[in-house]
Amino acid sequence: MIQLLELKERIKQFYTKYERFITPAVKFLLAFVALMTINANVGFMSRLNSIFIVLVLSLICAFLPYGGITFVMMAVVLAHFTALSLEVAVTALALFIVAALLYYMFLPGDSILLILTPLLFFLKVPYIVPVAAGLLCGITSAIPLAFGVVIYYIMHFVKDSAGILADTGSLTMLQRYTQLINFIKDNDQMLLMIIAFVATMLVVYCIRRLSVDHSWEIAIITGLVVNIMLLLAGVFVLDIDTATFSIAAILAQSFLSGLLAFVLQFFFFSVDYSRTEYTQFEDDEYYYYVKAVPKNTVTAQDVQVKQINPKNARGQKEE
Amino acid sequence: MLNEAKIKIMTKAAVFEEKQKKKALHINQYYKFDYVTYHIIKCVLGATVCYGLFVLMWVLYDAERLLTEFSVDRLFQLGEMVLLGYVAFALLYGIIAGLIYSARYDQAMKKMRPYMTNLKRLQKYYSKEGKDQTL
Repeated sequence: MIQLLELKERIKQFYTKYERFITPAVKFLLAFVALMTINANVGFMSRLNSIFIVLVLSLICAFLPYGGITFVMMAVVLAHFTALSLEVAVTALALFIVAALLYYMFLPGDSILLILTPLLFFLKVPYIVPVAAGLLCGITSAIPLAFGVVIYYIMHFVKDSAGILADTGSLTMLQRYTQLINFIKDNDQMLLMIIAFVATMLVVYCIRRLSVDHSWEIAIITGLVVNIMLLLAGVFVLDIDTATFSIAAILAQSFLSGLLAFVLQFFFFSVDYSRTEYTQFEDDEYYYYVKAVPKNTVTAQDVQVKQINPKNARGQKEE
Repeated sequence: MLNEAKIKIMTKAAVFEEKQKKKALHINQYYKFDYVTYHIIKCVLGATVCYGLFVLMWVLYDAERLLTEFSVDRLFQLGEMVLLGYVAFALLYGIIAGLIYSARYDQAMKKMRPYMTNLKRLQKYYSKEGKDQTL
């Protein structure tokens, strides 16, 4: 247990010292994985599939805020949709504008969920998203969470129906548009997923804020149980085909998501990742250029073990 | 001569200003009523655009049926439905926005208190230095 705490402290020290390099590296990795996933699933514009373009875009994203990264990813998705079908691109654009207007009105910082949700769906660990959002984000993150699910299902539909949507001879523009809207409107599985995700996020959020011991652990487990129960209930109530929405997959992915959630809890629970601050100010006499380095509360090697030998009356102290 | 205590206070104040430039410090410029009202109006305008987009998408989706069933009465009926829907949506969105921004204002004021305390302490240092100089 002490080794885990020491490891946590070392990670925090490492982050404090090298934050200027770690944050761009993480953003680069996230953008790279997201772009490769988008290209693998809806890569209809061949120019954007080039690894060179992916690397350049990822490098640009490394220096953008997370909202900027979301914007770049949405633009890439729209570009791919445009190459396939104009109706799909315009509909997706309208949905993105609605998501942006509904969400950005609250000046949030969790828009990255719009990218993470479909990304983790494609990587087969979707249920970590509502749990992580409940643990680390605010209550308004329910909106990008819900829209992230919609974006995933639209991408999935476009991927499966690419042949029909690209064929301008068989269907008119209005018919292709109607087909897409029908898919969104009548998709019980998507609606069930949105309800389950938002409910899970709210449950996790409410429980982790309680002033009880192990609130985060209770929140993770309760959230995943709520998620599984809602999905199973929804499968039976809405009569969803279990061939497309496998119960075994729900359970396996929930278990995996639970493990990842506990890893998140290890890294983020009660850890203030304060970074070194650089600031400058002046008074009548001096200009001050200040570097403020956050103090560490626990020194890694500051461990004292006291052993009392029952045979010996005196206690022995070791360091 | 460097006054370390004063430098510590100035550093904390400067770091706070750097971090909260666009958040608590920006919010502090407004009275609560003005801040919440401004953002409710902004949110309702955004909600209006969203609703307009939804209606447009629905009209395009149902265009064939609307054209075959077109009549003035039907048009008025639909218009009434759309208007009532808009009022309900804008009202709900405005109330949620009001609650969120009100809570945000209160949180920002809470964050400002230690900063204002530091500024008052700095003010005392400057007053004391001013008195020392005149003496």
